[in-house]
Amino acid sequence: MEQTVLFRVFEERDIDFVYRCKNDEKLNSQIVGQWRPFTYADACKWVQGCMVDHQEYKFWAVCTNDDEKRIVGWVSLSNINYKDQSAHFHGIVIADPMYRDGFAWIESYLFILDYVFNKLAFESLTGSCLIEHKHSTLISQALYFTVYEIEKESICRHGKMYDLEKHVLKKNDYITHYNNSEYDIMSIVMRMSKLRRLSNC
Amino acid sequence: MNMELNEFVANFAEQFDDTDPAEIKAETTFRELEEWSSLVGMSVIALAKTTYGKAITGAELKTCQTVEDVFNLISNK
Repeated sequence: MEQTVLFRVFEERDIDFVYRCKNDEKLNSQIVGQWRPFTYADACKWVQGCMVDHQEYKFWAVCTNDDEKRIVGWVSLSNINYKDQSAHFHGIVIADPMYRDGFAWIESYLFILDYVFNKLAFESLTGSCLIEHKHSTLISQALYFTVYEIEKESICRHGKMYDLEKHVLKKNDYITHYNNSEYDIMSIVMRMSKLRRLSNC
Repeated sequence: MNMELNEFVANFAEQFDDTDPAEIKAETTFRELEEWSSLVGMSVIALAKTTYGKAITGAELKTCQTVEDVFNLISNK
């Protein structure tokens, strides 16, 4: 199946898009941290920060699979630790409505898994999300992350405390599931759909 | 609206948790629905596969604006 999106380094032309996204209340309702308004200067700084090579974190622009390579979102890794051979799935935003149909989202997750376990050859990838964030809890299950901790009332958003789910995927498990074709897009879609139905019961 | 499209619209509407099915019609531009998201999108892709036996791609789904467009996409595969 042809890729819906590609992944590239950030460019100056992405600033307008980032500025709009960072101020989109609906988009930011699902972030783990506390949202704050973003000025255009903040957006410039943010994008320029993403453009620089960092040892401990990496941001990619998720872009259209054509000559234009227009940004539709971004995906990031943090806590890249070469000594411990681990990294943390920092975040994903797919903001362009034309790309919010599941494919770009899954492809972005698979890109990160491939980067961590094949390119970096790390041993583990962690992730975290608010328990209420169904999208994240379901995709982590569908990709065979296992929950190792629920941090009770650890995140404060708009004066309310939320529980944080922490999950991890180990390299050996990734390889096993990969070799079983369980990271094929349709396979993930079917698992997500089933998990979603079960979670609604 | 013929029976098959009618049924498809109902099946499509079932993929939403919080949207009144009465809001979803053949001519509804589904991306403008408040609840439309990657999660709902994946459920629609799964619906196409499990109920209609058709695999649809991201590029194909992008050509669809309305629920009826998705029905036609699946019907013509």
